Amino acid sequence: MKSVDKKKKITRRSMLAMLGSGIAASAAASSCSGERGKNSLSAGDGGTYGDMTYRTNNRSGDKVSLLGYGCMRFPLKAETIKNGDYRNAEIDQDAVQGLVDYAISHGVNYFDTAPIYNAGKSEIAIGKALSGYKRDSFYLATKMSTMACKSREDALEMFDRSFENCRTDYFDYYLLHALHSLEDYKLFYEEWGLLDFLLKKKKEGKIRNLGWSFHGDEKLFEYMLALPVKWDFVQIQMNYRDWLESRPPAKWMYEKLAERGIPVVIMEPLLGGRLADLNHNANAMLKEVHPDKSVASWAFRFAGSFPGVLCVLSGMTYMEHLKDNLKTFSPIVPLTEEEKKVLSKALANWEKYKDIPCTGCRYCMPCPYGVDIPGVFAYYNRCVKESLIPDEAMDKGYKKLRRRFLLGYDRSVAELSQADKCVACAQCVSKCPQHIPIPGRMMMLDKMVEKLKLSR
Amino acid sequence: MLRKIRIFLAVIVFVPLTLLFLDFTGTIRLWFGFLAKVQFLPALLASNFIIVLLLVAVTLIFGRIYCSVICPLGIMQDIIARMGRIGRKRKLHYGYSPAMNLLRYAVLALFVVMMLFGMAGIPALIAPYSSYGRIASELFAPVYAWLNNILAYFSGRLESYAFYSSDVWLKSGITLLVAAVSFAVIAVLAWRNGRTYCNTICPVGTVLGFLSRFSIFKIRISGDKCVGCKLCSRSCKASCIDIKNKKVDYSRCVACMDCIDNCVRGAISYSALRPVRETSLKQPDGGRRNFLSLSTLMIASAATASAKEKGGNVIAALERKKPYVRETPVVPPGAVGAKHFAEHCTACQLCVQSCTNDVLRPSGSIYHFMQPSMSYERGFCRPECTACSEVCPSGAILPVSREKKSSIQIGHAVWIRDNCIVITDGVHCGNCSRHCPSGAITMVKENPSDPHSARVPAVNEQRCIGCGACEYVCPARPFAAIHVEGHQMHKII
Repeated sequence: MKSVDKKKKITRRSMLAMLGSGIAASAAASSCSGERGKNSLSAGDGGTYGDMTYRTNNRSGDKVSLLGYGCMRFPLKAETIKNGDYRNAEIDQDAVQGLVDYAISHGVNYFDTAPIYNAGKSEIAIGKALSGYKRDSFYLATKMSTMACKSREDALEMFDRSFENCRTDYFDYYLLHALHSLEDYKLFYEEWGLLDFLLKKKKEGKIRNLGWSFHGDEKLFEYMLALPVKWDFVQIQMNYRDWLESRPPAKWMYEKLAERGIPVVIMEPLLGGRLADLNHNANAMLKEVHPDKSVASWAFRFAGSFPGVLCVLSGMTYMEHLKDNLKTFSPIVPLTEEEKKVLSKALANWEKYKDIPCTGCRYCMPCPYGVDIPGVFAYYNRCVKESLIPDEAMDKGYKKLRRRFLLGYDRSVAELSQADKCVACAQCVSKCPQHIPIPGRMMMLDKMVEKLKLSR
Repeated sequence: MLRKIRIFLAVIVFVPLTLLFLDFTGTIRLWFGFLAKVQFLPALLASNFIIVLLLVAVTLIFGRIYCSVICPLGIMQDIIARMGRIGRKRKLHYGYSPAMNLLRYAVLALFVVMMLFGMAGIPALIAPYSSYGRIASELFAPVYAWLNNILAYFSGRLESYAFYSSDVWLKSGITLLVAAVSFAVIAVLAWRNGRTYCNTICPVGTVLGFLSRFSIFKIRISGDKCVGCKLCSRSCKASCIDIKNKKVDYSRCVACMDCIDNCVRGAISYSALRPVRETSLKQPDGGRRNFLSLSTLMIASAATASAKEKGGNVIAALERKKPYVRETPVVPPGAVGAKHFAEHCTACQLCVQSCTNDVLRPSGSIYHFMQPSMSYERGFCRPECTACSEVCPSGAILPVSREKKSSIQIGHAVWIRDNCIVITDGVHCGNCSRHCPSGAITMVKENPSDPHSARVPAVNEQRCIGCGACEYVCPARPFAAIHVEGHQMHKII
């Protein structure tokens, strides 16, 4: 591990790159979020990083930056987001260029995209942004997004189009995208023969490393590892919440991969951004230890602490995300035992008062029985974030919190639209892009409110 | 001085008693709930004999000070009469008039007879405390709530939780009308002639007036000092000073002490004895002694006293349900049963005003005229709330504890198949079952032979307590698919 105080050598070339990226970055910031720009772009930020941590892929010998650039959350042009629907919005290419330039000039060399990201526009954007760089100076990953394919032909066309979109002859990393059930795997990769096709492409040199990204259960995971294929890497969802909590637990998957010596790429290290801001109390626990470090940095250091991890992906939308992450990974400082204890305490607190991952997209609305679904969730989330959920009747300040919570509830959500009006008809469930079990959550909130009302 | 003490005590009683009817937060009743319980007629109906005896004793000692410092309707009339003096050329515009004893006793007799026959609703129309209760809750409370809602609006904007808004809604048109009419009549009478209502119609006034003739302390006119200027008579809102004959009709005197303050000759005193005819014996300042004894006793009598859309309107569920017309009205736990309730309730509306769940509202039905009944469109009878039983001054709703309340069956739920959304919309529901606090609703297969059948509610009438949670949360519109039918006799389950 390189020491932190080792200053970055500024060569003429990196100096120019920095200047260029600085200009691009300010353009990016002003185009995506004016109000956030000033703080994060203060002069001198760029000079304070140490050296980026690299990990070597034991299969191919690739020297991959531990921080990888996830291309799923590229900045969008605000004017193309129609009524909060960003699915068909245009990517802000200037901002992307600024981010990519800055990332590369600070040592990031792994870029992960997929044909379905931004309805295909992510591949085009990253292809364009990287077109000015020598092909062997970065590693590019894309995927076979079978969920968007109706036939083998669709899949083959998708494969070909990725090369066109990304302006490349080969992919350094190629993934079977989001394996989630054995049935689907067998259909796509065995019946349609896509696995054989990809293995053939690997032999041809179109793919340098073949692997898969995983969202399924233990059975499918073991099935994949038992296949007579030498996987070059596997991409799993891993963060300090999913380490023990998810099914299967990230720990279990990581250990299975580590014992086989398969390099691990980490996705969702921040759990879709949720670990970047836990709740008032949990945030405070982390800030007490490192007042100058972001809450998000703890999640990245957790993921980066494991030696079997090749690369930790982060979908960085804003320059401040990128800068904060560069600080964390240049170089990575693994969590100490002491820090792990603090983190698990913060996690426990957050788990107790966890927000509901509602983005307020209103796809679920209107509820035929009048429940203001996003309104109820938004109120609850606000209270969770500000630690305003009354807990035990014996707690200090319980009465005040209780009154505040119940009054605020009545103010935020009309009486006829509150959680107790949910009939659990479940018509909203399939409409929720976040897969929130809405009726279950409504019942939980209703019970909580009822308990508060009773505890007079 | 005595007058000032009287006014001071009246304010001390009137303000919190009025707040009792205005408050929707449930805090005032914790402190001043007793003020409703020391009212004469409610105490009598509640068989609260200690209070009744104390009030009788106070009247036998001091005269009708009850009418001046405890009865809210009396104090309200004093306020209106005082306002009536503003802008009048003749400041002291009252005068002696003979008592209308025939009318008084006839009204009283009719009142007693109707009460004995269990028709408490109609006599309650003229009973002073419940009249004031209706005026305060139907006329003053909405204004108070609206003012509060303005504050709540700004407090909401400022992220403060000091105020919160409260729904103002028409609970019963007929009760509002009765309140408005009685307010208008009483106000006009008071404006013009002071205590006319108290001395001709009010049955409590008549009863206490009968007693006060024998009271120990009285206002007394000293024949020697009096020059017959009539200032006292013109200042007497009870029109009870006959200065020609130097006589006072003690059955109408409410011991307001206005005459004492107005007499320039010092000829009127409030004392226990007939004024001593100008003896050389200089009494140790009678005024002071009177003041002391009076204030102690007035304080004592006061202390006796101390014994709520967002979203589009296309969604039916966003509109309030229509109230169900129930075969048997539902009355609150503690009311024992329909008969007990009807016999004791004076329709003062204090429970309606105290019901934070907006369940109680005055009935418009002829048989239960203005007496409260329950309905569940705006909330249900929450298990943790016993407010109505705590405030009821007349024993119509007897006190119940939270624990006891949850075992009193006041009615039972009835499912109406044709309204249920499981049938009409073909969706899964079960909201009634989930919200039933006594676990009386089970979801059963609509078609027992089909293992995948939709599930509909089945009510266990033995377990159901009639709280109305099911009716309140039922998504069916315009009528709930499950509603509570009241029971004639409440029972413990």
